[in-house]
Amino acid sequence: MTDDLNIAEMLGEAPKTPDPGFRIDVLARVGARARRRAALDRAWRQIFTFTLIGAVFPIAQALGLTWQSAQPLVLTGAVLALAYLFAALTIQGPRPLLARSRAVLRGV
Amino acid sequence: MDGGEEARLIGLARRGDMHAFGRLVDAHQAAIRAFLRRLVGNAADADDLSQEAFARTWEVLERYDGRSSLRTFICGVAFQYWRRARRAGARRQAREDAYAELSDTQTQSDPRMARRLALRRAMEELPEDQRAALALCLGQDFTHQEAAEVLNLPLGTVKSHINRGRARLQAALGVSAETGQ
Repeated sequence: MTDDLNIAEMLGEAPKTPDPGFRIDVLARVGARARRRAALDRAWRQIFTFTLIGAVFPIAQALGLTWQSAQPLVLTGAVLALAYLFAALTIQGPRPLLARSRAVLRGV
Repeated sequence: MDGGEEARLIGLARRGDMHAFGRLVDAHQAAIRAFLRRLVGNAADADDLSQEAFARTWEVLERYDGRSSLRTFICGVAFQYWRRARRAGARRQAREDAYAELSDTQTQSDPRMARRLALRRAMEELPEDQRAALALCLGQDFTHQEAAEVLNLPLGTVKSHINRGRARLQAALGVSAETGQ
């Protein structure tokens, strides 16, 4: 009872045949970790985007831009945003876009 | 599983094939679980760590360069997880020690259980690397060379860890290291 194998057996053994339950648990964890990582990436992207949007106004003010002088730029931006929305709706349909907007509002 | 089949499954898993990865999990789960069970001493915690190690392996499979075996690579990931969990779980360890002492009084009538507890205590008193080297090699799941790769230690150090650790475990069982009786 004192050789290496016996000591190993007393310290702990694993099933010799593959356990399907173990594999399923591993794959579930893989999925959960991927979802967590994707959520984190999404959160960082949203923080970056909204920070950028929020920074536009103080930067414009600091640069001395008035509404009159910035009007062409704002209008161009608005047209581009509308064009993007139209393209996204055309390509993906309204449901994914709405779902995404809902997720943004919920802070997911 | 032969090397060619394993390489094929690794290639598929890298491209996102979960079924191929599941087969790799099946092929290596016994060695990884046994290693962690010997290290941790608690089957449920060890299996939990094993699952985390496999899940992490899926994420870092791109970094596997094929110089060592995949089993060695996964074991290296598992070893890092164990070290991290050990540092984080000092409080729980104190609770388990108290439980082990209680169990000791309850299992005095069962000599086999008492021997297991003595062995477990001796194992827990060993330094981290020595303990891991024993957990890898005692069950003959890994060669000394593979253990050196997993633990990132020189081969001579691993052999010395195993000899010293084995002597301490045998001493805990009341056996002379020279005779092994």
